[in-house]
Amino acid sequence: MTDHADTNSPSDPDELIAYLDGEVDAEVRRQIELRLAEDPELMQRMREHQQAWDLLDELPTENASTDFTETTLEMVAVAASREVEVRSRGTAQRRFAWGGMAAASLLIAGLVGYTFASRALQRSDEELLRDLPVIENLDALQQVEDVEFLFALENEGLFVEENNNDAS
Amino acid sequence: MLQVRDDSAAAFEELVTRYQSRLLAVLQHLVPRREQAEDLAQEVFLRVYRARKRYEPQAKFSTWLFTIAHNVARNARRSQARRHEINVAGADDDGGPPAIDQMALEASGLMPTRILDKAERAEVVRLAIDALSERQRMAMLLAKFEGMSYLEIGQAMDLSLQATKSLLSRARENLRLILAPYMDEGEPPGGGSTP
Repeated sequence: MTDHADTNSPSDPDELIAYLDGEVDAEVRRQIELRLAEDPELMQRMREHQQAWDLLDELPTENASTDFTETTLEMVAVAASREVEVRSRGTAQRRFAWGGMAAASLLIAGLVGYTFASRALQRSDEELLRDLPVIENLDALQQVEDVEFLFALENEGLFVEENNNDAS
Repeated sequence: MLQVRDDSAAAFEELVTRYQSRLLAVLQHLVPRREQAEDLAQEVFLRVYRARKRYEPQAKFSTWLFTIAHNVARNARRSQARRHEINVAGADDDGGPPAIDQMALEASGLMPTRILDKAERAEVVRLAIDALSERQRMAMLLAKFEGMSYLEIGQAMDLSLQATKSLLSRARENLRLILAPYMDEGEPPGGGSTP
């Protein structure tokens, strides 16, 4: 880009053209018009600019043909159908991926559930095993009214022996 | 365009109908042949369709359209240059205009001393336009035929306001110099004073 030392001044060529294009503010426009009134050469140059600009109207303007419109729309329709195809293919792939993820999630959930359930069952069996001497002697134990007597029996090793017998 | 963004086929057809001639009017001065301009215009509409979801109504639609047109035309010229085809559309730099004598010969050979008729004037103007650089041409066509402001031209061509102003200034100065011999009708081209 050309740098102009006197940018925004009425003698700046860019500003003069911007004036013709109606792209200057009121103050710059006023300064340029003052200068044009005093400078016939500049006025002549600006007239030539305007004439050259007006000559562009001589360029032929051809409207687009019906064929052009039709082929353009057909081309875009083909692109649109391809887009839909790609999108639906992507949707099918996404559906497959979601299905796989759902199946994997179910599998993982099943495995986790089985693990927790088997651990809970195992814990329940252990508790039953531990309480087995009490369960076996429940009727007799219910006859005992004194808890200290039961502790005394335990200290005698009665229940331990039974547990050991059961364990073996 | 908002309806096009929402996948309305009728709206897209309306958009093509409304803008195709304006687009072609600009593109046919950026490439050497009319057929090539039509190909590029179709490419522009295709890109508009593909980019429809990204359209934001912040700028005028025409500014967005000609931004795409500018890029498409520039890419076409680059690929053309890579293929080393003969460039009949004019200079690629932002330099000065070609010799007026050469322009006159191209326009109509040994032109008689008389007022140029409309068809000949159109040919002279076409050659003058073609003599400008692609960027100068694009900026000038957008200003002239699309009535775009400097700001809008800058947006369409990805230029600052000052760069747009300088570009248009050089474009119009070159155009004036090229057309000066023809503006005083009746004077033989190349026979007058050299600018």
